[in-house]
Amino acid sequence: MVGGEKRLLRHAMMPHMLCPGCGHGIVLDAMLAVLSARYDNLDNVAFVGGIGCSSRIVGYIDACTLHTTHGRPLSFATGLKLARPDLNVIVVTGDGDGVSIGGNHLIHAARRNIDITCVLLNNEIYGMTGGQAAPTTVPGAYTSTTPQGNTQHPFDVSELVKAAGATFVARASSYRPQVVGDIFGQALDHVGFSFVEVMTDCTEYFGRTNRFGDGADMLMSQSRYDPAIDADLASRATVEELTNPQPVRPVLPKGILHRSSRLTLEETLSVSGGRSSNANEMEALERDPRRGN
Amino acid sequence: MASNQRGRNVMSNGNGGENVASARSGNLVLGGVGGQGIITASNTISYVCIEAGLNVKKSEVHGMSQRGGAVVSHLRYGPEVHSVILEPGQAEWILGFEWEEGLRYLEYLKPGGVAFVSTERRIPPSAQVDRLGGKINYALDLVPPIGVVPVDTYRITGKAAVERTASAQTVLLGALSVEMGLPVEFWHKAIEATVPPKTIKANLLSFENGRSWYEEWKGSVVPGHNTSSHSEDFSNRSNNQHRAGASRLKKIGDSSEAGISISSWMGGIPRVEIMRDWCKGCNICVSVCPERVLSIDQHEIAVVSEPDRCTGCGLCARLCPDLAIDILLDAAIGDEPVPSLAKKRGDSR
Amino acid sequence: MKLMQGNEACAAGAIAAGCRFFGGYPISPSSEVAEEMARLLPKNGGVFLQAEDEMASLGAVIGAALGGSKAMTATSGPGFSLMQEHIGYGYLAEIPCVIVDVMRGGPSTGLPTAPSQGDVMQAQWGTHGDRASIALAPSSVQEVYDLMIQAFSLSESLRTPVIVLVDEVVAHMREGVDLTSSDSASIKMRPLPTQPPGVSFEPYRSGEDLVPHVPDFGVGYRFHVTGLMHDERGFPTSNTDIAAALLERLEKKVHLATDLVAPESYLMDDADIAIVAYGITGRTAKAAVDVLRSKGTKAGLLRPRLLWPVQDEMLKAALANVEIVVVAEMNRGQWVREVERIVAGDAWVYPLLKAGGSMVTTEEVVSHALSASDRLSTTDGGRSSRQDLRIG
Repeated sequence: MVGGEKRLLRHAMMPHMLCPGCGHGIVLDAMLAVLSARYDNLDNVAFVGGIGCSSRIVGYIDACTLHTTHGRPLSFATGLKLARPDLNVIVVTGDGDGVSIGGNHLIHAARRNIDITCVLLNNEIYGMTGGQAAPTTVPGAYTSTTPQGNTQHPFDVSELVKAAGATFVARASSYRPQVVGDIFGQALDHVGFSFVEVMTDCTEYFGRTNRFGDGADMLMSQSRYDPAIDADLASRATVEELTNPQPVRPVLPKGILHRSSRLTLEETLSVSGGRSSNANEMEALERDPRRGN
Repeated sequence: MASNQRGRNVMSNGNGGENVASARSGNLVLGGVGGQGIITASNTISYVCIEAGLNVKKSEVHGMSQRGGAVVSHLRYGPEVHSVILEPGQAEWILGFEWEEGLRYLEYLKPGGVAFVSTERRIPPSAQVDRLGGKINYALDLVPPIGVVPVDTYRITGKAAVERTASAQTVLLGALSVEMGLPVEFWHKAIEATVPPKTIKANLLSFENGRSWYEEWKGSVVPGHNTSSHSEDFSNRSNNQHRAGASRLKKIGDSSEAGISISSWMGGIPRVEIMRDWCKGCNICVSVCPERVLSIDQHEIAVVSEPDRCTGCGLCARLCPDLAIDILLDAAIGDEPVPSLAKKRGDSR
Repeated sequence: MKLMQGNEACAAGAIAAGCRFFGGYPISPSSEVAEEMARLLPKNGGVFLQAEDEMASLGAVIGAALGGSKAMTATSGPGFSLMQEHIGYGYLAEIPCVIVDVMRGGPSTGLPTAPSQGDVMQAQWGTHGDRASIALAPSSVQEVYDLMIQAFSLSESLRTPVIVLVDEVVAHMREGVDLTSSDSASIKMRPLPTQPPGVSFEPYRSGEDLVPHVPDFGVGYRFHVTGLMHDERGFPTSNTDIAAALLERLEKKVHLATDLVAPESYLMDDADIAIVAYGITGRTAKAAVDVLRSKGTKAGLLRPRLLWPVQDEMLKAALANVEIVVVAEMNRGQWVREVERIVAGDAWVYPLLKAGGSMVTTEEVVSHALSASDRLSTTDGGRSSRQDLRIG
């Protein structure tokens, strides 16, 4: 903590239940640092989580917090946001919660462009249930359900959400909390469905099973490859296949990967209002300077 | 993209230029991050030169090695060597063990020289420009500089690098050996003498992989596409690409030279506060602290063991997964108390 | 009076009750409820959401309810199955919401748009774990309208999901509806918090009314809502005493509904034979009572409108003086078990069970009742006299 994060924590709930070295806590801190700079209190901020290690972090935030069922936080958040468009609704989900059991809700939330922020903590494994393979587990990785190494191809979650129509898609890693904070802040500012994927480390299952060392080792390994450079180097004829030969971490592009603008679900609902939609009103909304068009 | 042409151009200059060192003398700069084996590599090269009956001198700057700090070594060899320190534009070869660290020393490269730079990247956790936190400053917006041969050391080393039985960086020595032209058996002998005994076999293999990769790479380069001169001023570039650690030191040095104490610069004396009930002893803070302020006690909880060393950079606090670390600013004697670092800073986020 | 389809009346009743959020997914035979809500809600300042599936539908309904809206969904068999997890969530987290299940034949995809009363047990036991359910069963289009209003009233005042089990026949039937039948002033609201916000605020603390005064999100209170067992602060707990007490309170709270929904009782005062039926089957049974009376058999009808929780005391009293209880329902025998439990051997229970997609007819009820009466008079009342009639 370097700022007012302490003020936004539920001290009665601390210490949290995450394992030593778990990257989720770093992301929690990074988000709270951003919020503490913006809000005196979180009376009008609602955090919605699903089921899993990632989603449990909402319980430690002194806001309106909703801990829902497995995979469905986005549907709860959709109803909440439509009922109370003035609330700042933030969904915290994981890779199992968000793209496996809840994949349908994720793509539909992106398609509808509902004005909520979704932070997906991707640790490439099911942590809470004991380290089973997730749809994000890299090929070759050992998990409790892939004792011979994972053979399935993983999702590129950010690309998936982008393809589904999200208007803000970004990826960061827990190794650089300031970047997480920076991107999270931009996601909060964005009008429309903003999606932030944060690569974090599961030390107890992913790290231990694959012998990646402790939390500090895994954190350091995140810094080893950076795709901005990889992309540049890959453009040279002389350097081929700039990927790590072993799946320490997949080399994924980071930063703000996509940003676009269109009407949000709430706007389309309020503009149409049961009547046929008013083209002028729609157009005026789309030109709203907040969208940076 | 122009990068291809520029990248190839290096080699054309290198192959035909009059600036290339003869086999009997040469100057090198080795740069990287602590723990990458830079000192070992410079020892290996020195052994090779000694084996060849040459005079060799080298210097080392290795502050905070093992902690992710910058490490640099200058090495000169020849029939007779007087000074060890190189001036910009004097090095025939640069070995960059880490991407940005390699690029940083490009100002030392002679026109026509070759910089072998590993594509391995170790970006410091928040790569702050200064100790007070802020923007990422890493060479992400890379325009491939002239003279750089990017070497994917991990890929070329292969399995051994992953299993940590060989240093991926030995690949760089393999590539360098092609350019330096001293007999290969000297290199083998030098590696055997300088690396840990258990890793000799794997490192020799890694060395050979590097050699053959570079020979193949050279063969694939079409010479003479671009005649742009090699006089680009690298010093401007490198000024903008300071690694966090080095620039931090510079900043503090500057401050003290101007007679400013850390406390007045930061607005108080930084103090690390650890909530023992929240800490789970994951060791992250201990490993990321550049000043070794923290340690783990017998109860497996982080403690502040060297409070006076803390400069208030906040890395431990930002990377603590248990949210158990707070950085407070204590008032210097006579000052009003300062509540928190972030408030003082007016956190821009 | 207005001529309305049952599903239309369902939507109209919801709007009259103040429902301002609908989340649903198309499924026969309930789709008209969604279609009607899509038309009505925007006009009334509400929001209609066609969700991607039934889990999302009820999830969004719960989210909207926490945002302060009266909210509902409507579905049918397969969708009702998918919603079960969220029904359990709504029960444990005490979220007011209304779930309409227009019953169709099952299991699985079953018999779309054929009538059935096969979801009665699912309405009570569908979700995992111990849950006490509130389920209403209307028998006419007018009653759909009225019971929708009552469903919201119960749901809001008791802070629990309320299920309305509508028969496919009623849902698609058109009848005249008196839209002024229910007094809107009688609609109860969710209780407002009495404690001030702050660290000591306990959203899940309840007094003698057993209902916690949970505030809506974004009104100045910060608190946690979870589907985990929780203490009165709303924070998760694995304390077995707290969990046991919570389950006990929730069940007691739901049982408050037993006194709030009166059954229909027809010619029961002097009846020897009681016909117990609910929903559309209750209307068949009522006709059968008239036929039986015309034949000189003292028959009466008891038609519960509240299937869950079972009104034990009321049923026991109503059936105290009858010799024979005929239970007619469109399934393989579900609610009859509850009747048998309550009667407990004081009278003979003769189930008339018909599954497979067609309705119980008046003739079937009449002949079953007469046959039961005959058998009882020709035997000494041994257990063997019991006769189930299973049709289909």
